[in-house]
Amino acid sequence: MKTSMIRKILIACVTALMALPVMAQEDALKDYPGYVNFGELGAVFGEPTVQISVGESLLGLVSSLSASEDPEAAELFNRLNGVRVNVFETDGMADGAVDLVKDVSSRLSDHGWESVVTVNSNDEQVRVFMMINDGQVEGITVMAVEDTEAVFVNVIGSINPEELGRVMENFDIDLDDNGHDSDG
Amino acid sequence: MKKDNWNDMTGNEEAWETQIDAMMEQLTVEKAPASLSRRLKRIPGEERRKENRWSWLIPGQFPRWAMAPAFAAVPLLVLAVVLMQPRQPSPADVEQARQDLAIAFAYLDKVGYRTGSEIQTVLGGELRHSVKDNLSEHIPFTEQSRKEETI
Repeated sequence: MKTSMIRKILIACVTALMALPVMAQEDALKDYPGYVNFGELGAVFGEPTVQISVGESLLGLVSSLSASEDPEAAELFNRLNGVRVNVFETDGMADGAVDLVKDVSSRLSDHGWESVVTVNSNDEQVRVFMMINDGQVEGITVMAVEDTEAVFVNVIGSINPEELGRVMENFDIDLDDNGHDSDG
Repeated sequence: MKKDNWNDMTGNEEAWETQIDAMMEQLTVEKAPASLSRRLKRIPGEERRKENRWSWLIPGQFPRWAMAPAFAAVPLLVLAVVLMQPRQPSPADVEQARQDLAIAFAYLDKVGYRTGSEIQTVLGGELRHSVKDNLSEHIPFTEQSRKEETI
């Protein structure tokens, strides 16, 4: 009885310890002004089909490895602190989805984010926000919710949108229906 | 004479002793004030605590119940320290990060394209370009989006 209790406590402790690095990476990003807390996305949309969180250390390595073949991309990655993507497949507009988008939008506006694009229709909700300090973009947040898909993107760091556009062109990636790179 | 003196002295001493004994018997034990009694009673306990405060550091002084958690904590602490160390990402991690970034940018592009389409629906093709060109200063619409919109 006592041994099984100790075993349970040990398993709980080990599990908590294993989650520490992931939490630490997410926590490290929270300090940046460009970070956005999207709230409980899982409670509204369920399990994400695509979940990406690239932190500063990996961006630094990608930057140094890209330096020779794509100096502009390398320069961009070097100035980014993190890239977070959450994609959910939906079957119709999820309950609470519109409220969630409006809620997050309202919080972002309160925290000084500038609304750049708003699409507000029955079957589609799109919001693009930017955190701009002293003329410098420090974060981009995209929320796009429609009948079949909900996409939440948060790019954190010093961003030059034109430069980002050029780098995106070079990536030239096609997404399949599941949101994966159809080439790879 | 001398003998009488001696007898007198011995008699006096005995009388003194008897008198002192009688006086001693008359003495009662003075009761200490309650606060003083309490303070005095606390002293042995406090002394014991002072001695025991750091005794757990001495091997062999551990209470038996503390041994199991203490031993269990050692590997957990080691594991925590190892996990907290910044891990050097492997080439596979970096390649994965590269692909993740590509997917992230593709989604940004997709949303940009979708937003552009929405503008076209609402404003019409001609107005769309004037609006979108202005937006392009802020949103990274790519050539891919431009190609798609012409199809």
